Amino acid sequence: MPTKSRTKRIKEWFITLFQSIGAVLYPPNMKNAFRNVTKNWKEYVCFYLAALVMTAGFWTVALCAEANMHEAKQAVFEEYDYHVEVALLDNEQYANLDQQLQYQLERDNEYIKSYYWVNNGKPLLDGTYSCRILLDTTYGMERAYGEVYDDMINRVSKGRRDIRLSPLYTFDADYGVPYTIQLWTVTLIWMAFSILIMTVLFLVRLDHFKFIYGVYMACGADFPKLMGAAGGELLTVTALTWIPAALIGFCITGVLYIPRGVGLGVAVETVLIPLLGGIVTVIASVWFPMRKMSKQPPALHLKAGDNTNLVSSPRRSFRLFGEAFPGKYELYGFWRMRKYYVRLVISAVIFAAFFVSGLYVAEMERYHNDLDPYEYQVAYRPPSFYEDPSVETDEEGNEIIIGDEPWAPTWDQAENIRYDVDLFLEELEAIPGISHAEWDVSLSGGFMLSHLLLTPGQNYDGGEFVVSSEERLSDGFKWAMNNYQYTAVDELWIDNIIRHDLATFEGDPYSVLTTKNGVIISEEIYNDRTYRFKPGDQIMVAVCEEGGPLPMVMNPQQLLREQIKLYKFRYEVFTVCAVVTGLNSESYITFGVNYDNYKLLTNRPPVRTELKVYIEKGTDMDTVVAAETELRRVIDYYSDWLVTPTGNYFETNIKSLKNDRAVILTLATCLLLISPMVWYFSQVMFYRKRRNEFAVLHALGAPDDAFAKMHRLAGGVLSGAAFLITILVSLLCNHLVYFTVNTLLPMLHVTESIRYEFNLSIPALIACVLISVLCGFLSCELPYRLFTKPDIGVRRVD
Amino acid sequence: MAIATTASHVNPDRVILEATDVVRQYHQSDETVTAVNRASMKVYEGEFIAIVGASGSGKSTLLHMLAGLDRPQAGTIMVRGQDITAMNADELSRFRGNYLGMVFQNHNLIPQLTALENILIPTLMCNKENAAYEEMFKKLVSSLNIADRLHHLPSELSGGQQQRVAIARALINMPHVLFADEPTGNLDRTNADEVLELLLETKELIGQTLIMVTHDMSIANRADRIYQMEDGKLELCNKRSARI
Repeated sequence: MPTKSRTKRIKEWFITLFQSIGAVLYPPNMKNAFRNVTKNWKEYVCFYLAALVMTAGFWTVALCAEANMHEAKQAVFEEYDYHVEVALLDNEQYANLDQQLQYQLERDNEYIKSYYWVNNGKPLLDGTYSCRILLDTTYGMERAYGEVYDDMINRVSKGRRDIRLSPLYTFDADYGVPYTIQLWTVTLIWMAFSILIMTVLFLVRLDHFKFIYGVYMACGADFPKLMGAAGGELLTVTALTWIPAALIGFCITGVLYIPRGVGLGVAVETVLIPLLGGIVTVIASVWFPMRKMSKQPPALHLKAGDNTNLVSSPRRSFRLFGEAFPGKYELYGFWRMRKYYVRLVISAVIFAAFFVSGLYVAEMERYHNDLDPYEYQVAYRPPSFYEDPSVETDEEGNEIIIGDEPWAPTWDQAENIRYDVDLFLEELEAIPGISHAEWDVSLSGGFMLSHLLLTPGQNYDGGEFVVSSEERLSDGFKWAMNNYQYTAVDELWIDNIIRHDLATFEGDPYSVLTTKNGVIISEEIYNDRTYRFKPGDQIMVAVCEEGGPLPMVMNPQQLLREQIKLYKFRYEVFTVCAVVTGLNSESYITFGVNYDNYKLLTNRPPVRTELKVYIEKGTDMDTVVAAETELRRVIDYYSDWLVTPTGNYFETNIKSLKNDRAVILTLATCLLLISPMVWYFSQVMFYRKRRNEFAVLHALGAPDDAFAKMHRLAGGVLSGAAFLITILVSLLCNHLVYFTVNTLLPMLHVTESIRYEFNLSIPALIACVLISVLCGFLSCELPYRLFTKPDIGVRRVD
Repeated sequence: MAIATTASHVNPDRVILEATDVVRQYHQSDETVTAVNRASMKVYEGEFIAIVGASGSGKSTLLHMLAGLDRPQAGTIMVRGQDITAMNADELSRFRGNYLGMVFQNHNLIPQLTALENILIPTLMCNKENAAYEEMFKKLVSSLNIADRLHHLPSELSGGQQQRVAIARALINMPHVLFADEPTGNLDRTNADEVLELLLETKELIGQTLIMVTHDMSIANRADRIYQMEDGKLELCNKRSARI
């Protein structure tokens, strides 16, 4: 048979897609579907409940996002009364700008509403002036800013002026766009869960109704027709639960936000998300199972009237002579139907495991919200004559750098700068509201053309970060890597880490200050353990002595190989004094050395020119303002240092209003509710199809109580399996979440690198295990009471 | 395979089964359907009895009651001198397991068990010696010609093979009375003849009584006696007057 071209296949795929969607929405199909799902509603109970959970989840996500946006807008508009702040102006700039602004206001400039000077026009503690401008955004925010900048701000000499845009100006970029991205990300995640829920339930239904679909196919039903029938039913169920789900969503959101004084709003997305979410979920969850089934021969499905499709074909028989009934009989049956039971237990238990992982994600969210925000940058200012380099384009379109080379302190300057920090750090940390300060004096080893040589035992999971090297093979140092940073370590750095519990040390970190070639080293890349060190280990540092041009390579590891091959190195042996764990890590490990070694390895002075100052989480706004004032007073004493606020405190506060944790817990609880549904739905169908088997056994002489024993034995085995698998799957899911949030997302630069601890909520796990065990048992006991017991002695063999 | 003489092992002095005025009714909405209306019959040990009648005449219902699979609303059924209508459920189950065998029209093999395991299922219900079962098992497997299919699931067997397995299952316990509900109904002529020969041969082998519901007159004519079922009423008839 000639193979079809790719274009033709894609075209056919789209035609099938549209035919299927058309079949789902085709009015006669919808009419049939409505009749089926309402007349035989008992058969669809689980789908009704699942659709209710799924759609309520969509409503909750959309409504909460709208409430969050509303809350953020309210907070920003209450806090900020200006769009632009022009700070660090000297006397001349102040007079100049004031004149410009007054002039424009008198001329009724249509881009500026008002302005005011901070501190009523008096100089601030550092002797500078700060102006706050409220724009008229009638013609757009950016246009207004552009006009104000060109006509007013830019007419003032640059000097040291600093232009800061307030959250009122950056609202869309800081909140609008991120919130929208977050809304759609959460929607897609919830959609993925919803598709999983519906697919699991639909597969259960398909397994037990394969015979009927086999008959349809034998009578000529193709994929679009099958899709139309099944998809139409699920879509009708979803449509019938839409309004009740909306009410549930409103109730949940109301409970979360109304007590905080936040009203509920409805935007376009609020309605679009549950609507689209439901449709896409139904189509996706029916599409793949139906597609697979439609490609199989109908004869396969026609055999499935009595659970035959669930049996794994054996190649040997059990010898039943003298075996106990019903014990061995049911256990043998378990083994033969293992595919069904494994699928049942995993698909039921996975939703309980998602609940446990949901709690973990909520805990991570709480941890993230509780972090002290980095609010101030305290940085050493380059000399006043120095201008930061900038990039411009000349007439021929070439980029040229205007300005000085990047500034770096001399060795003497470095000594003085270090001394400043030694003096003001303690005073700074004593300011009420300030949590701590951090700094980092580092230089990339790769940038210095250096690399480390490790032994195989030290390479824990180096993977793509290491290359094998023959440089010092005879010493056993066979792995090379350059994903590390030389970090200048002193007593203050170590004290700071220990005092503020920023990390933990294994070994004696202070010994690095006095040990010749001692090092404090970390093991993690993107918060994932990549190397394995212990105090006393030796590490070889290869310092480049002679470099040169290298062939073009695309890969950092290839680059390192070429360097090793072509460059000349001298080798220094370093001894691990301590291993540090808990520092936020990105694509490198810390190689902390004392000042002398830092100078030798990098040929640069170790100097702290920038500190990050953190505010204690939960500090009120007045205290923060007072802290800033006091901080400026302290730093102002050291004339060459500058304090720049980041606005992170306010942003963190806005984000903590979002109630994300409650939403996560709500959605996680919704997932937990699905677990009993899967148990019940699947087992009721399964035992319904075993009724004839039980009638045959009864006809062959099985006593009545044997059937009760069979069900209880099955329930016991399933409970045991559920117990074990719940624990295993919960552990696995939590590890996956941990790896994704802690390592993978920072590695892909989707989120910032924050170090989380692995956590498994024992109460949640116990609750889930109990639910799974109970459901496992009852899923056998209930069918016994519903069908088997009433059938005994009454139901005829078919 | 020689055709067996069915009359040779009949023991006219021993009544193995006697049904007296058996009634079975079904209530459906406002309607009461009398499936079996005061049916009476007597079967001697070793006989081959055929029950014939049109579809819906109540013959299968009667057979289920005689086999202890259903309870009449009135009348008594004595099997081996014991009143099965007076037994409780467990006693009846044990009785069925020990003394009665049943072959269904749709064979009703258990889907998750192989042919061998399906055959051995009845042995789990009774406490006879394994050795007795083993010997019977070997005989059945060889005479039913299913030795090479023993480890296959029912879904992997042909219709004729499935029915042979069902027959083996019904016979493994060496029941005193074998009930067969249209055992050849789903088979072609050749297979149907083979199945009948097998049943008759085994009947001769172990001195069994065979009661069969059928609407195949060629089979019925080979019975020792024929009962006719019509609208719930049972009549003994001679072979010439028997009709479907």
